[in-house]
Amino acid sequence: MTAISVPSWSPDAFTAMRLGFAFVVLGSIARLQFFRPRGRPTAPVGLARIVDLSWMSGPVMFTWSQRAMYAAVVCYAADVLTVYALPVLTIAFLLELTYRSSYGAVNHGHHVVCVVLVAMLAGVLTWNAASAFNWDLSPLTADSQNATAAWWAIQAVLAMYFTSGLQKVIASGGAWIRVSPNLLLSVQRSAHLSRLRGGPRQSAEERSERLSSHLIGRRSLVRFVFALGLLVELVAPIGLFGEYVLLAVGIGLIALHLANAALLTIRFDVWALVVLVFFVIPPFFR
Amino acid sequence: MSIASITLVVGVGVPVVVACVGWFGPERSSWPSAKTMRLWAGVIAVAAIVAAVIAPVVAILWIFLALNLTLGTRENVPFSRYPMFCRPARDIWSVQFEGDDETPVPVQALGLAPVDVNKMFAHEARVAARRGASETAARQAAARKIAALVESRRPATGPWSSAPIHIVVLDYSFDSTGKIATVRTTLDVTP
Repeated sequence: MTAISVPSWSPDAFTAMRLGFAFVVLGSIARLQFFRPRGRPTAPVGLARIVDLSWMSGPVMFTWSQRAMYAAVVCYAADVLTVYALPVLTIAFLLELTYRSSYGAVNHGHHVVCVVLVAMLAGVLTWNAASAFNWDLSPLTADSQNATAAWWAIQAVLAMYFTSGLQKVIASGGAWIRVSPNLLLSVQRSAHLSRLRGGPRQSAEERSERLSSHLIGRRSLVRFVFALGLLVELVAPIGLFGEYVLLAVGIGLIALHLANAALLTIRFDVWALVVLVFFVIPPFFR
Repeated sequence: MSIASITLVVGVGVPVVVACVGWFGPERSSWPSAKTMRLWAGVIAVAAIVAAVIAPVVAILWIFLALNLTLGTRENVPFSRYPMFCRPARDIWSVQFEGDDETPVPVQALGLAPVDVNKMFAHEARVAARRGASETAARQAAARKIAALVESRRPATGPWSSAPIHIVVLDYSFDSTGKIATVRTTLDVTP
């Protein structure tokens, strides 16, 4: 096992990552909920604990914030004024996700975008500061601003999956795999909630319900399937051993999201796309 | 093997071994307490900070892990512990809205998503439980809050603009034969 180093990405790989991530961010901005909670946050989280964010509920505020984000993401994709576009996007996503999560329902569906933006912005600022003041931060930063931003973003995403895996181990006292067949109850609940919602996803829920009813009597098989999911999350950090290990981890994580969508009907498309952009695509642009 | 490689191998290896041992270990009678969880999260966060200092090439991984396990405890966006499905319980519940004839109310007509309603209900029930309410009382308190929310979100026109809406909880569990059983309880109703 050799020393870990920042991958030497080609200019094409950087372009692919930048355009790919811009596409993901664009999708996230387009799906911001126009129908917003009203009044003072009932369960403030993060910044909302110190600052009243109820001013974000107005439709005018929403429209302008969305327009600013669109402009910033176009700049980021075109690699123009990136150092200004990144803070705009980061602050806008931080505020938006904090506001949305401050009414008692935290949805992690778009957190990965915010975390990647925070990591990239920190990477860019650190690299610029090191460059301006001639600091030698070489083990921490890479040989270019783009490489530092990408390397920090990848580590931040891996940390999210690792945290999720660790939380399952900690909260269940290590017995998560053993009790994982109980998740089939969640399948039943998801199917039920889907019927209340109606719409095109209902057939997916019905498939998932059928699949879970086949699995109910096969607890060992269910344990094995869920064990694979947990282990993929727990071993995610080994992706830092090299580009091809990262590719393998990326494929494993995307498979995890596909399996979650099929069985638990939990769709984390944004997460899967971020993994695709930063873990899977770069090795094909050597 | 470099220091950074060692931090990764140890950091990944220990939880993998714990998870695999727990797979075949005896069934737990209860979940770890909040204090125990805080203790383990704190220990891992400290270890992550040490790893970040001695292995700067992968420092961001360890720093984000430490931040997730500390700041993420109370969902300080963007840090979180991502607790979804971390405790697969033998009984779970969901909330739904019904009319007088037990017809489900389309939650989206109220500008809400079913999953958000469930999370809000869980949050309100936790708040009530922290104030000392029993499980039943906590659920009723949460249902009252949700009923008020429903009332404030009624559409201007249509059948749900004025009809009474019942707040119903469905409890799911495995019966003695291993099949899923569902119990339905009405907790509150809007005026």
